[in-house]
Parts: sequence; C-alpha cells; structure tokens
Amino acid sequence: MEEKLSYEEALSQLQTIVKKLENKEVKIDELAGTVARANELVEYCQTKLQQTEIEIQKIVKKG
Amino acid sequence: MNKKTYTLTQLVDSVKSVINRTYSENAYWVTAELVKLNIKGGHYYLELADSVEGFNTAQMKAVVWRTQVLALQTNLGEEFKQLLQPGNRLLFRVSVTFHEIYGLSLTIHDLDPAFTYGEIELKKKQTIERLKQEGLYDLQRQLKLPLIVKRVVLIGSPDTSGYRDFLTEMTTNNIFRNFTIQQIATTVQGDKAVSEICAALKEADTYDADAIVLIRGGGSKMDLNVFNDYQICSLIAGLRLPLITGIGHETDEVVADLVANSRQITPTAVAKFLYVRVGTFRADLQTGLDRILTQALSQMARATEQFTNTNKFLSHYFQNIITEYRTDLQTKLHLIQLYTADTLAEERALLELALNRGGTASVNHLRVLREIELPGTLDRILVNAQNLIDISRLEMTGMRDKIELLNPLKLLKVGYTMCSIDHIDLAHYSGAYIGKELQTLTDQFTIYSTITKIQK
Repeated sequence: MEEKLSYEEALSQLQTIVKKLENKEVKIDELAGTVARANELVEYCQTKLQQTEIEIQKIVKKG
Repeated sequence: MNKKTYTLTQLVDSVKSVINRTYSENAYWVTAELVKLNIKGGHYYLELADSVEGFNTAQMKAVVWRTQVLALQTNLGEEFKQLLQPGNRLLFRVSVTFHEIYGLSLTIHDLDPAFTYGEIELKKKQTIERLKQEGLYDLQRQLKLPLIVKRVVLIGSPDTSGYRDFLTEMTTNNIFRNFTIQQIATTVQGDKAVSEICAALKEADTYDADAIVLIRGGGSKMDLNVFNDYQICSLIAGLRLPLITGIGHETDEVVADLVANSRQITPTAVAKFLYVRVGTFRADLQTGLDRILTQALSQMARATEQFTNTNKFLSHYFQNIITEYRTDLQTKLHLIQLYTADTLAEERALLELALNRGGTASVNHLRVLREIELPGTLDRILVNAQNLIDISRLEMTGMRDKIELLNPLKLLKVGYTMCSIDHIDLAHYSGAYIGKELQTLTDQFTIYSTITKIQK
C-alpha cells in the first residue's frame, strides 16, 4: 500500500471501483484483482480513521 | 455943350456933409461878424460882415481907436481879447463916419459881451443838437474807463499853471504815483487852438494808453469857447480811448465836457480822480484780501478747535473701547482657560474610562475565549471529527458490503454463470452471434462453445 495516498484519494478510488462494479465494466480477468484492491483500500481507510481518532483523543487529553 | 462939372473934392465933400448930417450925431448898436482884425499903433482895424443863410449881405471896415481900446480893456479885461476873435459875432456901438480919403467906415465906441455869450450859448446848443443827431453825443460814455488808469496821454499847454498842477499832483500825491504820462503840447487859445487840439486828439488816440486827459487851467467864457467847437467835440466823441476833461471852470460846462467819458472841474481834480481810482481799487483789493484772510483764519481756528475736540473725544472714546475690549478679552481668556481645563479633564476622564472599559472588555473577551470558546471549539472539533470518522466508517462499511455484494465470484459460487463474446459481457455485446465463440464462466471453470442458433 502506497504511503502517500490520502484518505480522500483512497476513498475516490474505492468509489470508482464501486461504480465500475455496478456498471459491470470490470473484465472478468481483472475482477479478482479489482476486488482485492477494493478490500485493500477499505482496510487502508479503516486504519486511517482509527489512527486519526486516536490522535484526536490524544490531543484533547493533552489540553 | 456947357456941362456942370464938380471936382472930386466937391462931390466927396457933398457926400460927407450928407452922411455927417444924417449919421454923425447918432450912435447905433449893430450886430456883425468879425471877419478880420489888424492892430496898428494900438488901434484896432476890423473887417465886419453880415450874412443871411451863408451869403454876404453887408461888409464894412471899422476901427477902435487906441484910447477906446484901453477903456474897453479896462472894462472887459481878458474878455476883450477873446471877444475880438475873428468868427465871433459881436454887438458893437458904432457911429458912421466918412473920410474924404479913407471913405466910409464905422467907429466903434463900445461892445456888449452879453450878446456874444448868448451867441456862444446858441452855438453851443446847436453843436450839442448836431452831435446828438449824428449819434456822436453819447459815444464816449459808452466806453469803459479801466479800473486802473495808469497810462495817460495828456493834452494841454505846458506853459499853463493848470498843466503844471496836473503833473505835480500826479507825481507827488501819497496814494499812487506810478503813472506813465505821454504829453502832447498844444495851444488852447487863439487861432490855431482848434487845429492843434484836433491834431493832438488824433495823435493821442494812436497811443497804447488807458485814457486821454484834456486840460486847460481855467479862463474866461470866451477862452473856453474853443471847447465848444464842433470839430473838436465830434473828434472827442469818436475817440477809441476814453477822454477825461479838466478844463478848469466851475459854472458852465463846455460841449467837450458833455461828450467826454468823464468830466472833472480842474486839472488837479483829474489827477486826484485818477490816483484815487487806483487807490480805491487797491483799497478794495486790500479789503477783499483782509476779508479773505480774516475768514480763512477764523475758519482755520474753527476747524482747529473742532479737530481738537474731536481728537479729545476720540481719544477718550477709544480709551474706553480699548478698556472694554481688554476686560472682555480677559474674561474670555479666563473662560477659555476654564473651559479648556474642564474639557481636558473630561477628555482625560473619558479616556481613562474608555481605557478601563477596553481593558476589562479585552480581559473578559480573553477569558471568554479561553474559558468558553476555545474549549467549546475543541469539543466541537472533537465531536465533528468523531462524527466524520464515524460517518466515514459507516460509509466504508457500506462500501465493503457493496463490494461484497457486487463481487460476481460469489454469485458463481452459488451456481450462476457469466457469458461473454470476445471478452465482452453478453449484456453489452452488440455484434453477430452465429459462429461466435461464447465464453461461459462458472465457479470451477470456463466453458468455450460455438453459437449455432439463437432463439428470441
């Protein structure tokens, strides 16, 4: 997973994938790869959210 | 022929006796004009004539014997000589005498001057009348005698006392002596008097002078008769310059006096008239000047007094005004000081108040910011962030479910297949079907079949 990918970019990629899936634009050959990529992106975003939440909590507790 | 003859002597004797018998015992008063006069050995030989309307009607010789001349001179004085001037009409007492050799003549025993005076008066009247008729009588009086007569032409006989009196008076009086006198000498009696006076008048009128003075130092009626002469009087009337007479008599005027611009009694009186006139003019001038000076001085005095008064009043008035203004100014200055001090104090107080208020407000604001707004903001951020995270998390869950749902591999697992031609999903394929290879994807494998028939 690329380090520099932002949450918004990850989300945008996810939405593109969902759209393609809905429109059945994904080739069969690429299907497995695409789903795997979607899972990755979801995980990445989940992690980002988790980390952000923890950081905020930390900041708040400091003040 | 026997003629009766007489000698001349016999005839003349006869005439003489007839004449003597008729006239010699009587004397007659006779009027006649003296035509000519000869004096010889003290005897006066006269030529007498009479005329009617200019024509001689009689002419005769006459004689005044020396003894009679002396007697008449004693009786008549200077008059005698004047009366016996050719041209005069005279009243003689005569007797007729006849001399064998000298013929018929008159012997004059007496003469009456009163007749001649009457004649003179008559002639005078006629002259005046003529001058009036000819429009000459008033001409001189229409001339304006200058106020100051300084340049004078004097006509008279230098040998007379009147002439000398005039010059003496003109040059030695106490009023004015600076006259310019042009003298023309002339005789004033005798045969030549008229022609000389006329010539003198004509000459006098050519000078650049103020007036002509004609004088004669008195004389008898006969002496003055020359000034009744028409020729002289008409010349006087026609002069350019005004003429003043001083003919020297008190009772009867002569015609020259009547036609002259001004008539004085004597030569001395003429001189006096002239310098008094100058003196009067000078006195008038002096009086006028004095009056102007007096008036000016009094006006000056009035003006000075007025000025002084006004000045005093103004000084006083302005002093008051200045004092008033100064007081007013000081009052105002005081008020300004007071007001300024008050204003300053007020402003200072206001400033302090404002400063205090500002400080308090700032402190409060800071406190609000620190105590309320900041923590609130942080909370809000926190909540929002949490919300955002939660929403994102939900979204992410939804996304995963969707992907899960959309994943065809799962459908394949439960028995569904997916068909495609040339790797195009059948749902999207639009080409020919017969003879094409159809790929069918199952959970376990991929089936390749050729399309032979399609049925709708």
